[in-house]
Amino acid sequence: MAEFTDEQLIGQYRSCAPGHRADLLVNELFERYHSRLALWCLRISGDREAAADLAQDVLLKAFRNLDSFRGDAKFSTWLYTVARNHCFSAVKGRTAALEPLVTDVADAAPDPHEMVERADSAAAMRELVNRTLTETENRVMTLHYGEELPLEAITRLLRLENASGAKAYIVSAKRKLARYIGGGSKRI
Amino acid sequence: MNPKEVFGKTPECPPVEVLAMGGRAVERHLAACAYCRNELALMNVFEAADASAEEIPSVAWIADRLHSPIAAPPAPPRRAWAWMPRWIPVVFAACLLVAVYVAVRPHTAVAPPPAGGDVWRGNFRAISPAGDVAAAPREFTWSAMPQIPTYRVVLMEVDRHEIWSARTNETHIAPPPDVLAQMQPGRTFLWQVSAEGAPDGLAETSLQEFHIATKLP
Repeated sequence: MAEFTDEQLIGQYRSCAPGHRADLLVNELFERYHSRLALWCLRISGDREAAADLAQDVLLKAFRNLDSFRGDAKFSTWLYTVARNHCFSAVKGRTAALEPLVTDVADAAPDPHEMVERADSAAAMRELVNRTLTETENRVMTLHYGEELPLEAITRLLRLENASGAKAYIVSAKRKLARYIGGGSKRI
Repeated sequence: MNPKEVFGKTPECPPVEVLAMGGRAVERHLAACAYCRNELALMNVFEAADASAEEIPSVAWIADRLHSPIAAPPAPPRRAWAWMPRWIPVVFAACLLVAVYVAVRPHTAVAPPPAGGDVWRGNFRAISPAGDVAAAPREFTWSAMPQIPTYRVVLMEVDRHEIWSARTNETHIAPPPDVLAQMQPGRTFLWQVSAEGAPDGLAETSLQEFHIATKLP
């Protein structure tokens, strides 16, 4: 079955009756993604036991929702969205149970809540962020404040190899934004 | 203003499937939207599966543990008697069960287990928790089986790895605090009850699954 694309496997799976062949088709489809899911979940969770649980949950969820794959995009893109949403939710849940999201960002710079309150609008602030921050700072801020991921998970996901990982990018981004916003709206 | 309004998804952001297709409109949006650039970059991380040397052993370990969502759970590790054909212990266990049954069966009219070696379930069911639940369950409940002195409850990970088991003569049991602590939001678990000392052989419930909803931030 290696010669079939993912989408061909799904097409055949949908057209055949439940049974041994249908099982083989689905097994082939999902086994192609075991390593990718394993790596993704490992980076999100940082622990291989938890990653194995997460990845197995993603496989189950994807299988149960396979009917919702319409074929508009590649199967790998669809599976990515399932894995992303499931893993982000799982990590967010775990973080919320442990501590408030932003208390781990110890920094002298103003709190992001205060900073954004001083901007004229979300659109202007997004434009400022887009213009001012480096791509890595942008990604770290998006994952931390937009997706509420813990800093350790962001460090692993983006493979940041500096000593303090994602935290350093949060600190530098907050300083840059504070400098611009502190300079008044003329600079925005 | 909430930082999520700045760093989160906006109504203009297309789904990742559209971002992946590209095109001029997508490129224009990407140039102005850090959120979507990040989405696309994350998708590429997933697709590339570019594991570092340190990650490779863990990835292999995890991938080995994964099994198809529709297949049977993975076989247990091979043991010293792995040379023995698989049917020998099965036949031996079946003979032993029959011998014990013949020796101890009461002469009362109780419905017999079905033929073919299936586990007798009847109305014996794991009731709750089941399906999506809002929080870690404080209690497991199941239906009663007549003439059963003891029930054994087993809580498992989705790969059938046992987390906790306990015995009781009631039809409900509360998990201890350390087990409750393991039942985190977003995780899925399986559980099953077996009746010990069933007069007509083995009796156990079907595997019951429950998923603990993820807490909203």
